[in-house]
Amino acid sequence: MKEKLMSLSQAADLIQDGMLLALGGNAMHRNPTLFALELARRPLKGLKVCGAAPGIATDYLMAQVDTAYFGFFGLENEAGLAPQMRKYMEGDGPARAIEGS
Amino acid sequence: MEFGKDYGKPEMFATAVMREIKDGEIVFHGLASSTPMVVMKAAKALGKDFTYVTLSDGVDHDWNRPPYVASTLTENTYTGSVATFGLDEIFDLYASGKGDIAFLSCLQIDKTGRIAMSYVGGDYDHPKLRGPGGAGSATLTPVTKRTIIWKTAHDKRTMVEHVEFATTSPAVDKEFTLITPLCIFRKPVGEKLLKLECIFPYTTVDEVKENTAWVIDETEVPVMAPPTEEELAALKKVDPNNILAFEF
Repeated sequence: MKEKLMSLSQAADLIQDGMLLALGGNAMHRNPTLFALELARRPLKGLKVCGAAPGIATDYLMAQVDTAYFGFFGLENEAGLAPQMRKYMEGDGPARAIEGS
Repeated sequence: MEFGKDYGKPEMFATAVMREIKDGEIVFHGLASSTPMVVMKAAKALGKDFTYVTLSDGVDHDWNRPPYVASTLTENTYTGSVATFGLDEIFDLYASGKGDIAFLSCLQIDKTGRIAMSYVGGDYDHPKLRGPGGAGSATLTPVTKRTIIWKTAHDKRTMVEHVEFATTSPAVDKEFTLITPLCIFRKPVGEKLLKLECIFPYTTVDEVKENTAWVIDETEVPVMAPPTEEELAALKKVDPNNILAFEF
């Protein structure tokens, strides 16, 4: 079986500009937050993100995202709407929302 | 039961929602749905024999375990389930016409039942407020026998004259209901507009009209009976942490 275990930075090295990423988890639950924080430190651009209910991890990446595909994008209840998603999508923000629901 | 002493608006609202659930039904709520979660647990405590599906993937979880946060994505709606049934399977079930109730909410709604979940103000690509999106409501509303919108605010910013961009809208051949802290609006099968069906004991038709931006034609409607002792006890039993209060 192909060995898939690798360090966080090695995994982040796989990501290039313009890639479509599916980050797991829903809203504030079961998100790959450390991976998203690692990506957020890098000069990536034009990323596309998708998920049924993207949340905190995807929100960390919004400065690098041009398109988000989702059914629900938010942090749910106590944490409310996703702040970076709003910042980069509202008004003349550069990110585009493609809802699939 | 006396308003302000034995019960408040959250309890009346929850009771009205609970009375929608009938024996034998398949009932769904999604994420960010603390109010229907508490209501459906309380309906179980009352002995209503319905099937509870939600996106924890659990079916008929152990409702005796109290929710500890308002999130409806925790293990609380999975632990003790009798079966695992994923969101994809729930959507398939509803698409085949077997879903009785879907509890959904909205940012705004109008008299035709068009609901905004995508954005409010501006346009789709330049929204003033970007909302979370429909979360499946556009899929569920046309295929669910009775879509029930719960909204814990009743004001003219929410009950608007016209929703600019509808994330979803009711199907003519399905029942569609809006429950607010003041009243119930319902669009019967075969009709296109929401009608004021009843008001709650502590309000008047005039107060409902003052807080609704669309024209309400009904002048006299029944007043729903206040929560019974059993209904209040069920709410209290399943929700000792008062998660019901979160949205009020």
